[in-house]
Amino acid sequence: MVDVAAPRALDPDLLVDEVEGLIVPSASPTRLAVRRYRRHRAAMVSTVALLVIAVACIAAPIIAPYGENEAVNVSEDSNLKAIHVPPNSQFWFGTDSIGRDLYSRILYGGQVSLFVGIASAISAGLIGTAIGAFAGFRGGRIDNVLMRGTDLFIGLPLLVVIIIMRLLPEKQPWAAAVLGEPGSKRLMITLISLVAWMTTARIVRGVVLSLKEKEFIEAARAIGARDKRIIVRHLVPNTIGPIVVAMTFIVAAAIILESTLSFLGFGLDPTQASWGYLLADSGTNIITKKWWLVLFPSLVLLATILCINFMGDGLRDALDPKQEQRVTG
Amino acid sequence: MTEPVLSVRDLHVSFPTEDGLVQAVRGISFDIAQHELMGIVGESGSGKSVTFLAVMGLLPKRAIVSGSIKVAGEELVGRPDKEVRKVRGKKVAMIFQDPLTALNPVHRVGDQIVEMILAHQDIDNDEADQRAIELLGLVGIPQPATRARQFPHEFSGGMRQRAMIAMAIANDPDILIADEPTTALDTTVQAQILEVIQNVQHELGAAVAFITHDLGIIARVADRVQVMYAGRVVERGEAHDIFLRPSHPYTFGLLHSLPEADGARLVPIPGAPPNMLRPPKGCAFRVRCEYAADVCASVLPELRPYGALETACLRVEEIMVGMSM
Amino acid sequence: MARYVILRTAWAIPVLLIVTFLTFWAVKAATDPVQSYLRINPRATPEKVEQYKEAHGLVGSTPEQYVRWLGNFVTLDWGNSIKGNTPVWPDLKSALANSLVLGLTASFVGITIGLGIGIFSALRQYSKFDTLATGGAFVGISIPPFVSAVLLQVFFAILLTGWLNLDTPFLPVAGIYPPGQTEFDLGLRIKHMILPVTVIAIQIIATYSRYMRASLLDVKESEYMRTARSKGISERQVIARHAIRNAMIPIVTIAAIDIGAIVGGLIITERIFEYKGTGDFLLTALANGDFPQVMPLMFIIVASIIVFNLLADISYAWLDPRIRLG
Repeated sequence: MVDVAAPRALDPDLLVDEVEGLIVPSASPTRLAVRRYRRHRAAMVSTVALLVIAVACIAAPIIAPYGENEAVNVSEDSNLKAIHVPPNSQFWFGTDSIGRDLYSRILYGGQVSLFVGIASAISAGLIGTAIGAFAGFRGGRIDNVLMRGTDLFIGLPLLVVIIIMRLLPEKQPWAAAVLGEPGSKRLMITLISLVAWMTTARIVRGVVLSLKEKEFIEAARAIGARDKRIIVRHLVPNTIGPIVVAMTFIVAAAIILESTLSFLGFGLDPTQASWGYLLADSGTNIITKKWWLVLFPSLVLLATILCINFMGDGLRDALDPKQEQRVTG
Repeated sequence: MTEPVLSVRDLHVSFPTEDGLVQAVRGISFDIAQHELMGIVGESGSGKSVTFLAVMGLLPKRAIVSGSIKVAGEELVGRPDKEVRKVRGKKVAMIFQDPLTALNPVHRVGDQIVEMILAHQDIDNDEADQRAIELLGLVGIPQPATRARQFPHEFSGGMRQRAMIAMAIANDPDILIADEPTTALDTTVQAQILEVIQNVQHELGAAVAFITHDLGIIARVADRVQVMYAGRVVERGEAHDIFLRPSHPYTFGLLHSLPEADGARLVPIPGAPPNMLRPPKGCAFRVRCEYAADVCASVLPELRPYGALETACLRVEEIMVGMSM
Repeated sequence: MARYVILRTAWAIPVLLIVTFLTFWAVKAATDPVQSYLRINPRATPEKVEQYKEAHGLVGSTPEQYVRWLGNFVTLDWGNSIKGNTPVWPDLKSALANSLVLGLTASFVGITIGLGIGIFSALRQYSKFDTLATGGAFVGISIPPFVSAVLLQVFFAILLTGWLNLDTPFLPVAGIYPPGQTEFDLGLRIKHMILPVTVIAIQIIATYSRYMRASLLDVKESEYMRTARSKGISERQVIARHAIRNAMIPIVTIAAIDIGAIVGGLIITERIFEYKGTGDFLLTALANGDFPQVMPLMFIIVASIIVFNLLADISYAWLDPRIRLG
């Protein structure tokens, strides 16, 4: 007797079980991002290193062996200051021309440099997001004008622009009132934000524009939702990633800018000695062969900026992954 | 009997990935005879494109290829790229799905054809330029001399595909591989391109391997048809026979999922193709097959003759009997 | 193509005027020439001050002053500096020449090496070379130029000289020539340029190797690469004619813009190495509030940037037919 092969109903459980790998346990996007970040070795090492540096600097009042501006005496029973002492067991990084411990100054200096860097990035991020969102929402001529405006700015040599702007508050009282007093952190942060907001603006504007185009706006409108609300609800998840990445890189750029300006003498005033300021006398120090006064602040600056850049790269991989390996299908 | 233009035996292609070894092609064998147009049908992931990329030697270096591939009698598997290059573009040529991205946007169309010509013919540049213009005319592009100096984005979609075909036939290949050549085009243009390809087959005498997922096109142009699923061949035969009386449940499914002119309901095949990281033991189509039985889970079906066709269904006799009741 | 060029050029002229006007206003506010004059001549009477203002076109509204200044500028009547009362043009001219020599040399060296590294990295992605090159590039972009400059100075002037027991520094760290040298000496010139060029080149190599790597990786995945290979040409030809050729397009644009930025972009390096270029000139002039010196240089800087941005746009259109004809 021939076995009649009658069609049978398909077993849905069979479909699920047998077709292996088709149902993937879904992980939340945050967990996936964290996993990708962990894979970036340089970023992981940098995160740890940066934390160490940041914590050490914040804890300066506790862990610094000497005061920020304290000229140390050579010994207990002498009033002579320990000037230009090369690194030894007492002064790990040596002392400067007034007898101040460089290690302590670097710890305190870190507070300033890191604060200015982070504050500038946040400020630039907020300004950029606001302007970018505005330009994207309004579209049309306003958008055009704003974008052309930023194009102009992007070309100009950064340092020159900042130096000129930096000189304004010195000569013009109104500028000091608006931007900040010469030598103040507020002025520095304002100046850096003014030249750094473009990147985040572009990102946000791009996302808003693309959201405006999407079909689901039509669909949502059809059920009565208002445009702005839809866009805002979708704006945050789509922009948060790129903005965080952009802001991380702005921190690094801000630290570079601030240290360069302080080095040139256009930065913060001496009472807020940032790492850049510590390097301001490098010219003389090199001629007089006081190498430690140049080497240690340089290395700390370099290490910090490098760590931030690696972290930014790791974040970029985590939040905006490139194509995985492709298999031709 | 004359030698087949393309002869593939027991071809296996795997890709090592982060998640494991993806087995894209799991042991297939077939011949394509001179002058014949063989339609290769299957959905994404069936291995149909990978097979022919292996023939061309265009797979990424990490791909693992075993088996035999003979083009005009010459074995290609295991040969160094330097030697395969002599065959690629000359005896066998390929056209791709999206002519916009497949052509280099910054080189003139004529120059890209000339590049193909000069790779295998020892003639001077001017002669090659002339030949390129002729080829553009051959595939039905008006004003070929002007067109040759233009860039790809100045061509329409259909013209771009014609240009690709012109490039592929520049060295008079024995076999032309067309990987979904009409998928990216409008329906009206599709017909024109099909005509061009048929001309290539009949006027230039090349064999054609026409890869597609669109059965309608196969019905129009193919001499023979090979149906692939999950890296294996599941059915093969003359086009006429396949369409009239398909023997494999997958082929049935494909035919029944075509929109019917009389407005009958679309019946898609339930489920989805298997994960090629861990291909199922036995018949890969089993989970989507209405006729599957226990034997289908344990035995990997081989192609065997069934009437005028070749089929890889273990239960084909029973199914056919059942259907005729 | 011609229309594209004309349109962009026409647009550039008003941009130039607007930006330089804004610069004029900002620089005047930042340097306050009247105040500078008073600083140099503290006993000047109000009449003298008025005379000075008249003589130097500092009367009337700002736009009026700008137009007057512009008129003088284009006729090369650049006046004298406030400090020292010396003609502006000769000093600025030599500063320009020096900066161009330094900048172009560093750009040439940096871009060539950077592109080479980038290409190699992309073609051997994830190899040891690539990892090293990427790490190096990160370090390169993370070192502020003044840090690399002083570190190099420390190494070459102090440490290396000490280890080798030399009397004079291994490599000179200041000036275009050793003090006292006035004639042109190619050997000395080159020796003095080694460190400054290195400092600038570090940044260039780091950025261009990354750009090229990214651009080439992007292009490498394109469909037309597969088409090119399907023709049976050698892999080297595929890479050269299709990958690199296409990957270079954005690079050329960037390079054009960077070259335009040379005039205003070497401030730190020139200051640290006491190299008498425009950067050093600008910094000194700004510190002195010397408006007659600052403004012509600022105009040149802005003009250079705008012109080279224009050239960058045009070159992009010329190299990428899709832009040209689209």
